[in-house]
Amino acid sequence: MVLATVSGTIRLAKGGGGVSSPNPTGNDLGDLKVVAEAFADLGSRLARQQPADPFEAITAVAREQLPTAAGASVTTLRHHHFITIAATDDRTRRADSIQYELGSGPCLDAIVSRTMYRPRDLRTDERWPTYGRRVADELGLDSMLSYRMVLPADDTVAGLNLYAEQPDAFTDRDALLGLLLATHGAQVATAMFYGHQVEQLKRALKSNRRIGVAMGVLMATHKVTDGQAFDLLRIASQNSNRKLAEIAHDVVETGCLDVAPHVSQGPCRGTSPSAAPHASTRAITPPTSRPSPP
Amino acid sequence: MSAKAALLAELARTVAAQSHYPSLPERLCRAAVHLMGAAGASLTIAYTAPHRVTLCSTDDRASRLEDLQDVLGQGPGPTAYTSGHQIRSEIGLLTPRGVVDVDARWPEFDLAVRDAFTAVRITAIAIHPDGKVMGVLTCHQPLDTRPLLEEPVAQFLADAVGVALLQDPDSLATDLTGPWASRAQVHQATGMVTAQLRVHPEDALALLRAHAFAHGWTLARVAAAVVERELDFTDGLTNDIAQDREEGTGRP
Repeated sequence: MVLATVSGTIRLAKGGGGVSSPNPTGNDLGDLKVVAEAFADLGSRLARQQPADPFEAITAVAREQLPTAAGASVTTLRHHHFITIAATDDRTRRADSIQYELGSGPCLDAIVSRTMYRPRDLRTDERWPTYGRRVADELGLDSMLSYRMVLPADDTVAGLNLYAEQPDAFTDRDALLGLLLATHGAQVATAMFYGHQVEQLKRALKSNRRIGVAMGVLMATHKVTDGQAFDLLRIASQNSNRKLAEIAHDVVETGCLDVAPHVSQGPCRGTSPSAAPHASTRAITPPTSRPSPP
Repeated sequence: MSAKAALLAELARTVAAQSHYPSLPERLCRAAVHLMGAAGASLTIAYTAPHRVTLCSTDDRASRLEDLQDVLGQGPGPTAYTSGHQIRSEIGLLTPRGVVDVDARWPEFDLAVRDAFTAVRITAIAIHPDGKVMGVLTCHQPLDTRPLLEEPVAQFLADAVGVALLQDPDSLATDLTGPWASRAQVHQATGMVTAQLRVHPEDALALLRAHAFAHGWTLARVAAAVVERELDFTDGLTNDIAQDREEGTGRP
């Protein structure tokens, strides 16, 4: 997929006449430096952002690294509708929304046909006549770069858009740099998606463990069954309007459980770093019937 | 690239062929066994953490190997998880002279495996689809066979298994059923010992592991005995601990 797009771009570069340089070696290194800086910029933006949003970072870096771009955005397909999930400015958002409204445009086609598009003059481009005229007349945007972003992580389909105010504003070098940002950005977004999933899983596992340990504390302290212990935690959670895992944490730390309604602090909270098997003065009444285990 | 694509296709085919196993982790685990040319495997999340859970063990030996590494805190699995690497090792070997040749990295585990079922070849692969380790795929096979996949391809397989798990909400739904239930009993037993001995939960879990090791039980069996109130640490062991502390030997 990526290779196919790269070769497409190279053909496009030849067709467009290319960019000649009197000093190819120096220029190559200069280009590499730009790419390296762009990737480093992407990384540092993600490190700074809370919560980190890879698509916001990609559009910001694209806008910064391609000075001819008036704006950058990322389009995604969710529940059969295209939406803009990140954009550098409102004009770019409006340009995107014209595509969604018409159901036609370089970005939508780049996503659907899994390739990149580089309409040099939107006013005259015959592939998207209505869209091209509207985006030029209404928003003053005359040329574009659109890439599909390959996101294998969660079946998300996405595309990166770059808009410029002049016709044929983007050079071959710009087109290649945009492609590198789109592919690298997609990898970053994929890795972040997996990272988020792993973190979520670990949080759930820790929470499960805490609840299990708290159940054990109650089972030993009050001679109740596992089902009754779980019910006590659940009742305390409901009465205090706090999460089960939070209640469990307190039980493990203090050995106490407060099941009285509307009281957030147990009387022996903080008495011991580890569980002290003393009943709270607010008496726990184990359920009389044996509930089914959780 | 094409080898990886072929492997993914083969993984998908093999997983599909395991349709009689209802859970995705089990299908993935069995597919990995097939592709690695192994005899069995386990799939464990958060390997060395107290909240670890084994999603699947394809056979008794895989299950026992996982339990021994959990109880002893050593072996290719824990090392793979903490280092993020793939560990290939022969465990429980006898040298030609008949002298016990214990792997210096995991002496207790090596001895325990030898006692349980002589020598075995273990491949433990850290699963890290996003760079951070989420778990370990541990395959075992007889010494006279070798893994069918080279290390980089096996790593790709393990990461692909991780990706498949992450994309399936059902396989990682942390409800208290299936594999989560057995671990839940370990957590409950930890809590009971925490209350019985007034120790920190980490120390209570260490005590359960020590008991399992000392009696040659699985951790799950010790946990079940505690939860069923057949095993109570309140009496004898408190004295043992107090005595150990006085003697400066720490936990029993």
